[in-house]
Amino acid sequence: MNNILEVKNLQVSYHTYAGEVKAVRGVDFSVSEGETLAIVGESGCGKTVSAKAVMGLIQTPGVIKEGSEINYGGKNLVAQPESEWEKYRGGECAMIFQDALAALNPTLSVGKQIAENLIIHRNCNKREAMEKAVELLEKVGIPEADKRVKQYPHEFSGGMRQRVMIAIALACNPKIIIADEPTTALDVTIQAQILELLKELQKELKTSIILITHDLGVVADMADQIAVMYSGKIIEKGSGRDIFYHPRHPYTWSLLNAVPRLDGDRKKNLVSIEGTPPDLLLELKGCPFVERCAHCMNICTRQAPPTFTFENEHRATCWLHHEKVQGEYPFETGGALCVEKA
Amino acid sequence: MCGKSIIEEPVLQVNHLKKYFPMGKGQILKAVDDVSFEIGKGKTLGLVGESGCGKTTCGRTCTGLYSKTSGEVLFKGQDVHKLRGKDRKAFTKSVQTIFQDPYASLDPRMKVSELVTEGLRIHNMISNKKEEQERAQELLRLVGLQAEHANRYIHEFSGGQRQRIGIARALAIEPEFIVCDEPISALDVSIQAQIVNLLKEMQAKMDLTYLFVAHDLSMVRHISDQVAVMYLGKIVELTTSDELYSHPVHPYTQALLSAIPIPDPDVEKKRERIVLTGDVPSPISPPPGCRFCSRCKYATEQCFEEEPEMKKIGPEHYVACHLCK
Amino acid sequence: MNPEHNEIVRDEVLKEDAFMPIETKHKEDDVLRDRGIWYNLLTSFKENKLAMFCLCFLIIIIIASILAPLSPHDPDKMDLLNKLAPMSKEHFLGTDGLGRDYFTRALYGGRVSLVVGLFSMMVAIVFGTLYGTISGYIGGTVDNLMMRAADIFMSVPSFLLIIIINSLLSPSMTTMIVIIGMFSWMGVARIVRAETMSLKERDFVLVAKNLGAGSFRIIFNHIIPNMIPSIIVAASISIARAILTESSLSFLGFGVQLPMSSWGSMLQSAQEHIMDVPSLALYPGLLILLTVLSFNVLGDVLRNALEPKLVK
Repeated sequence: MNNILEVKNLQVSYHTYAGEVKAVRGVDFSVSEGETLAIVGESGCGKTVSAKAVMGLIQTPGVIKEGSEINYGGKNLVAQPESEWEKYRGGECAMIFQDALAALNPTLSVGKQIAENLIIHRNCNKREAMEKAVELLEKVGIPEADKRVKQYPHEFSGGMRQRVMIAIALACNPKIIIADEPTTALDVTIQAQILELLKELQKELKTSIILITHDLGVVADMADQIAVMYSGKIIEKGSGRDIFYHPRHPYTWSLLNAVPRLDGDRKKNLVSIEGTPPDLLLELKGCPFVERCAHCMNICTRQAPPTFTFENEHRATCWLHHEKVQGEYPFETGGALCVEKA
Repeated sequence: MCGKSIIEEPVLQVNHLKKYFPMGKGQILKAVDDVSFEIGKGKTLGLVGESGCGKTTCGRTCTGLYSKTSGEVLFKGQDVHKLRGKDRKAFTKSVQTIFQDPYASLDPRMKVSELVTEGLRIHNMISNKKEEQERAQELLRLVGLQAEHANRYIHEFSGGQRQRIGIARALAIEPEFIVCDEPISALDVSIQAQIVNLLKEMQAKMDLTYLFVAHDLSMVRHISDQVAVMYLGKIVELTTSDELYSHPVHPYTQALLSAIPIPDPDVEKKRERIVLTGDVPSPISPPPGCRFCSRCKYATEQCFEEEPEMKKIGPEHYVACHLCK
Repeated sequence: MNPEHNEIVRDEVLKEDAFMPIETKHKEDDVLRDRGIWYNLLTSFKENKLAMFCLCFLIIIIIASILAPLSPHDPDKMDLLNKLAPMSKEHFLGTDGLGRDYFTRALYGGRVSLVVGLFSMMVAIVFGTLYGTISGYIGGTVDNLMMRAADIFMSVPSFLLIIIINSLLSPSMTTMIVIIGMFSWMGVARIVRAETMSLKERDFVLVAKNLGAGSFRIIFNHIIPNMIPSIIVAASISIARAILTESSLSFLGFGVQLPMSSWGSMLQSAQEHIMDVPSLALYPGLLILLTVLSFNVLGDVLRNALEPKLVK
């Protein structure tokens, strides 16, 4: 498969009152056509910042550091001028935000907001754009689209607003859609609707989706690839099945076991990950997870772990896979095919 | 299920509670509409529903933060809304709330020691600064924080740590009954488990009774003995935790359970999802008849006309639906 | 990766105890702390040169006004032979039209301006804060009535009224403080009321209610402390405005009475000589300008320092 977007060694920092916050510390991922990549992690792990970087939406005090690469269509976008970004943003790559109410302009009708995109990127005239807007609203499942196209965001319910957001994102047939926690602000029954819709649209339009979420449950049925992020780094990456059934990083394993399952034992205490993630202001010496890891070793405090690669491009950044490690663990260790230095 | 209590020693009895908010122009928002339940000592009742279903209003009316429109809330036999003076003060000492947003519910201008001991000062349970410091440190250790944190400000803490401080504050005055108003929904998954485990531990240690308000059925299952499912101001199903998850009867409960994603690709692929169509109707003008009829695929004519009554369909299993006999 | 780095990694891996399991330490590192308002203030002054200048200026003015009696000259002693003298060793800023030492008069005038500014600000802040909190906290009809009353006060051409009242009463510093305070609390009350309305709906106020706290406790322990940044800004504006009002009154001759001096009255007497000795108007004018500016700048800095901040 050919990758349409490749991100290499992405580093983003924010300069704040307290110092430099290294929000993203060297992240690599790629998306191929029609594929769904899920980036999973807790708040503050850098998943949203990575997405914003890919969209070119990092603003001061944030900076994309030198050496970062965002390759799309044979070009490294980081080095391109703003005009190049403008073509790419919305046209080639569109974003769905978590809070649709905040992301929509309250003073414009939803039709105009969808049409705006088309007028900028596809040189449509106003009438064509409005007709297309009605079509799009129908496509995302909004009933009476020809009437609702003239309404304003506050006249829509939460789920409907998220549908409008999706319609705006789809307007120019982008190759990539970045969905930043698209269902977090919604109720479970509405969340199910939106996820269904995204899946259907993907099947129909063959778009690639980068789905950013904190909820492993949401991605179970959707993601082809999953990248688990922790304090600005991807600590494990692999196919959906590999991540769910053969987690190789203690963080991924605990995360999977911290989610209560409807089919699990009710009386059993949940696996909780004690402590809190490290502060991103700090220079990390060893593994970022070391303070919360139940299987911590001496070397973890001294040296950042290398990335071990297993079958099927499954990668994990954890010392437990080193050949010298012995002992019993609740997840698989060892058996790496190759090692990349950290 | 109304009238006489069916459980021994109920700590909280809610009978036909209604709470309406006037919205101007003669419109009325029926946030809580004829809700009844009771909670036994040391037990947990989970109150589950989507946003806007009135679960938070219900919790706040139970603690006397909101006045009621009609019905009654009895705390150990006393009507909460009729308490005045000394009795009212004694009631505020035995009932506490843990709020959803650990950022908004802690006063940013106060030190942690002042925050957790505020209740103690209000109820004259401490006399001097030294005692305040000691109690604050004790409480912080109880909820898994460090004693040295007492002199710090709230914005120096992460979400999970803040929620622990919120719990410490609620526990400070040794209440008997705590309303947990979505205490985990603002937290990360790995932290949620910490807080739920902490709440369970505290319950065992101090014999607490919880009303656990949440929109997330999966977490509620872990902490509740009984679960009540709310939809648009009404309880549609009330039963024990195990029963609710193994034999959900009300179509809404079934849909709610089915909408929860399971972190397991194989199970998820095989599972048949009931995806509800449409949105929750506005509580300002709920449809006549069953509130759920507009989204229910089994709805009959009767459902559109007649409001269903709470019916007992098994031991400790109550449902408000015309379809279950 | 560079070879040096690889060597370090290899060394670490080769260490004997490298893969020995160790107990996890949930260490709570104190990287981020709020160092409190004094630390924040200090850093703001270090970074903000203008603020530093304003602070120094105000300190000098205040100390100089307090120490005014140390001046070798009597501010009211006329020396007609030596009138309109230029700057000299003896008369630091020269003398005015009646031969009085201008520097000493400016110092005494500063006393009046600062005292009137400070105290009328206090009157306005205390009254405005109480009025605004009560109005906002109770809400409903009471709020409506109280705010309309404030509106009426606001719609009165206050400066004219101040002049009328001041000319009816015996003009003194106290009456001036009370009168200026009386007509400047409405702005404070409005800001405070709006803040109270939003603060009383906040979760932490609900929590306090839940803990059994009474209204008095909620207002003084939760609402007012959270409004302090806004109150400080209001105070700095109010003090600046009071100094200006005092100066204008004195300039028009309705302020402090002769022979007492204030910056405003100095400006007034400088009028006669504006063509030949413009410096007489320049000094008090400059003093008023810089003092008012300083208070405004400092108010902003102080408000910023009061915002909770985290530092390494």
